Amino acid sequence: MLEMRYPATIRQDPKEKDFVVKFPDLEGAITGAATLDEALNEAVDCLASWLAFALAERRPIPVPSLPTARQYSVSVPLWIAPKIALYEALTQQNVSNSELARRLGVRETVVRRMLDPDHTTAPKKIEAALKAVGWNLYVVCAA
Amino acid sequence: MNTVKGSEFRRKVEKLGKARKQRVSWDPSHGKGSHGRLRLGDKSTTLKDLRKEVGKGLLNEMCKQLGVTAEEVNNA
Repeated sequence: MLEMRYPATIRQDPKEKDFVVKFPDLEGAITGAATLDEALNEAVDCLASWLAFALAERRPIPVPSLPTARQYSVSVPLWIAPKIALYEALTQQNVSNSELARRLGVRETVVRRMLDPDHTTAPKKIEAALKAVGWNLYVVCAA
Repeated sequence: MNTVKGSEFRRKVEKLGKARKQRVSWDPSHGKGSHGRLRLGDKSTTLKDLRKEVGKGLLNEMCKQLGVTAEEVNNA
């Protein structure tokens, strides 16, 4: 199962008082803000942006570690999460873009766009693509 | 709290890189993200929306990732 949440450490700088966010699983991912609320918002954006770079550059997606009691669990936003899931599914199942295109009866460009973070894809299309490689997409809501 | 605008930080790092003859590159974010990637030599950091203010605590941490000090960037 692929659960797209990453632990983040949020620390208030003792001297400067601003909040600094880091993701221990994602090298170089860093952000922050003047308040904790803003820092949490920036964290979501930072996480999505980092994963978008990884997707665009076809780098491996790190497996999220389990959050410790002092870490925050940050969810990958919906504009990028299904794309990351599809990318992961194709990598793990060793299915090429052209093979997926064949299974879906679409041109390879369509699959490439599904994996392009700069292109918006309807989630149901990615859901169908995931099904074509034997994966299921389902939504879990948590407070 | 002391802050600096993201775009200003980027400009200063570019200036510092030039003075040190180190390669600097800026990769804007993809899709709906607003965090880009700033590289100095073989090191890199994440820089939030260029229009937003970067707090000094965050700035120090970003400088650490780039292998420089905040003073060096400030004086560039």
